[in-house]
Parts: sequence; C-alpha cells; structure tokens
Amino acid sequence: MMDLSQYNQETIITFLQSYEGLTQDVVWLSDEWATMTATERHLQQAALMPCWEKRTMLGQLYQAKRLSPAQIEQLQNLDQQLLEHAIAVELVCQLPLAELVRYLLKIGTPLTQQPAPVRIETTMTALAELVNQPQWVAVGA
Amino acid sequence: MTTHPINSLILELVSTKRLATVTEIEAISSHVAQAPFASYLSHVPQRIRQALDKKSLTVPAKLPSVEWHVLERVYLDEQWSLGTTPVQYVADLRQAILHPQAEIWTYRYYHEPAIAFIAPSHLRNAPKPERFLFVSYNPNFASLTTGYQTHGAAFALGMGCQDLRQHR
Repeated sequence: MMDLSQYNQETIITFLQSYEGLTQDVVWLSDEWATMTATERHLQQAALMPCWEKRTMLGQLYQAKRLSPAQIEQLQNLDQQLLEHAIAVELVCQLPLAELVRYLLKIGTPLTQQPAPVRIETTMTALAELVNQPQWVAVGA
Repeated sequence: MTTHPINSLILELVSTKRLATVTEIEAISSHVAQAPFASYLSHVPQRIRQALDKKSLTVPAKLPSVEWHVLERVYLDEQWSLGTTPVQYVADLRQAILHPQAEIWTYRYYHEPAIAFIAPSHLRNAPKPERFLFVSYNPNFASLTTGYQTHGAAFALGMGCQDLRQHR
C-alpha cells in the first residue's frame, strides 16, 4: 500500500484544480486541434501527463478515504464532466470511451457510488467498439 | 537531416524493446542531459492562462513550450519555487537525468518514441514537493518535452504510455 500521508488538504486541493484544468483543456484542445501542427499536438499531450498523474493520485486518495465529502463531490462532478466530453478525450488523448471508463473504474471514482444517471457524449464508433469487446461477443454468440 | 547516433540508438531501443547496455545508458544520459527543452512556439494551455488570471498575471496566447511549462510548475503545481527561470528549471531536469540512481525507461507516448528519467528529487524549497523528478525526452524532436515532480514511475508512466521497458 502506498504512503499517502504526505498529501495534506492543500495538496489535495491542488490535485483537484489540476484535474479540473484537464477536464477543461481537453475540450479547449479538441476545439483547437485542427489548427495545431503535429509537433504542438504532441507537446500539448506531453503537458497533460502530470494532470493525468494527479487524477490517478486522487483515485488512490479516494479509495484510502482521505478525501472530504466536498472533495468527493468535486471529484465526482469532474469525472462526470470528463465522461461528458468523451469525444474530446478520444481526439486529444486517443483514449476511446471503453478505455476511459476502464481507467476510471480501475483507479477509483465516486461515480460508482452515485445512483443518478451518468451522462456520456460519445460516437457510434466508440459504442461499436464497446459492444465488440470479447466478453460481449461471447454473450451474444 | 541526419539523426544523431544516440537518438538513433534510443529509437532502436524503443522499437525493439532491447535492454540497453551500461555503456549505452551512460552515453544516452550524457546526450540527453545536453539537450534543450522544447522551445516550440505553442498555445499556452487554458488551465495555465486561467490560473494566472486569478493572480492578475497575463501571458500571450502563445509562448515557447519551456516557458509555459515553468509557469505551470511554479504557479499551478507549486513544485518549483516562485522566481524559477526556464534556465534554472532545465538545470534541475538535467541534474535529475544525470542522477546515478535515476530509473531509465523507454516507451511510446501516443506513438511517439520517448525516454524518461525518474530520479530522487533534489528540490528542497518547493511548496508541494514529490519524491521524484520525472523528465521525458523525445529523440525525434531531440529535445526534452516535459519535466515535473512525480510520486513514481507507476504514476508518471500511465495514460498514453505503451511499450514500456525499464533499462535501469
């Protein structure tokens, strides 16, 4: 089990702000994507590495029950926003919907505890990929 | 344009996933430690502009990549102290690259070849430090593409990273 004791409330707030920046910037980047060169696209993707790391850390902190109720609610809202922008995430981060959901479930998301519906904007291509997962093919065969 | 032999070596290590020899590791570390940070003129990400707005700081829509990386490390992540210049930031990254205990990984990041150095952090004055310094170098660009403090390889080399191979 990793040591999370170094992360105080101030640091957790910084992590949440970074994740909020990620959820907003994938949308902004997807709008600008067509105007960017391949070099700039790669540099922008590289710059998102620490933001994704902080989302992974938030998952660890959530699972270790180190987040306050308000922080859990904020994380849940940001996860919801990220899913709502799944098309932008796929364009900018080359992460199909199935992989995005798998990532969130693996690292820990409060969305699994909420009874309300989850809104996801996606494409038919991503849905086709979802139903073509081996386990679904086996069920339908 | 001719590719530097060390960049060709890194490309070969990424494509074959072959383990580098000790001599190769020394040559790669020495080469990467002399490389510049990407200075490509690029859009300052919205998250950085908004965070700076709240501090009444304004920046142009585009800046060399290294400059907005420093702004993010100082003002958003608070992993480097106020007043850090791009020169000081890159010097810290170079110190991490040459650290004798630095882990060295090759991988593909969104299909682009890369090599990363993850060393115990020597930064003492950062408001929100982490245990390690992470530096990524792209042999096609012949430049460092990012550098920040990280909790460790398992966290830094996550999203977008494929074909991971640890060499040290």
